Parts: sequence; C-alpha cells; structure tokens
Amino acid sequence: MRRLLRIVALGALVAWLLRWRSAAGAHDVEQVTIGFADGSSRVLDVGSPERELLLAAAGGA
Amino acid sequence: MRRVDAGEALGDLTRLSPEIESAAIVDDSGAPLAVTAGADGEELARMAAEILDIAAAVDPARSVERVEVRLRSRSMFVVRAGERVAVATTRPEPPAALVVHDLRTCLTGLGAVGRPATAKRKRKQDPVDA
Repeated sequence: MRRLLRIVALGALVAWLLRWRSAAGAHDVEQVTIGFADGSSRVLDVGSPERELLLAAAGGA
Repeated sequence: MRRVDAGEALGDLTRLSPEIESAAIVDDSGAPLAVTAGADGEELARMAAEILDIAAAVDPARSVERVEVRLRSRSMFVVRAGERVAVATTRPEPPAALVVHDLRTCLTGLGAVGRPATAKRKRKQDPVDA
C-alpha cells in the first residue's frame, strides 16, 4: 500500500512538472513586436490588451 | 534599377525566404495585389489591416512600420512601406530579422526606389533546418 502511494505521488509530481514546463515554454514562444517608422521597436508586455488582440488576430487564418 | 510587378516581387520573396509559408502584397485600399499559391489573399489582407489597426493604438503618436506576431504554431509578419503592405506567415520561430528584411526588399522593388527586388544575399543555414 505504501509503495503504491509512493508511485502515485511520484506520478503526480512528474505530471505537475511537465505542465509547469509547458506553460513556461508557451510564454517564451508567444511574442509581439511592433516596429515604428522612427526606427524604434517595442515588445508588448504579457497581459497587455493589444498583445492579446494581436495574438488573436494573427491566429485567425 | 528595375521596377517589378507585385507577382514577380512575391515570387522573388518566396525564393529568398523558404521559411515563408504564405504571403500577400496589399495596396492602400486593402486589396491584394499578389498572393502566393494556395493562400487566401483576401484573408491575409484583412488580417494585415486588423493587425496594423490594433498596433497603431499602442502608440498613436508614432507610425507603425512593422508588426511581428510570434505564435507557437507559426509567426506572422506585416511590413508597411508607403502605400503598400507585405504580409507573410512563416513556420514557427523563423529568423525574424531576415524575414522583415526580405519583406522590405520586396516592397522596395515594387516602389523602384533604386534597389532591385531580386537582390541576393548570403544567409547562414538555419539551425532548425540543419
């Protein structure tokens, strides 16, 4: 019984780690950059409304 | 110095940029002038207009020249030069600077500003393709 509990706990830990890693990776991959005519550029912050709108607009096709 | 039409410029673009999956050149009225084979030009034009509109709201005091949207499944680029817009979708994690350069070159060729759209350049082999 104790052995079974240990296996279940280990499995839960591995699943949590995999989910955490996947979520962290998603934030790294998705990015929005706007370049302006004056040569400057801006990377939009995670959670900004324009960033979410642009991600949605680009994901449409 | 030669002026190329939109279709020719787009052909040069896709030859130069293998990471581009679909692309279109759009005029100032939002109508697609040229589109890559198999792509929906109207849809790309609509998306480019929407993306530029949203991006313009980020800083209304400045003019938006390009927007790069990197998604997990692909990336999308919108580059504006004068009255024309080039829009492209690419495979995930492309060399963004090269794609923007190629889109600008494509638009510059259309405008006959002085550089041919078929300007060749050496590029490093992308490690993803290696």
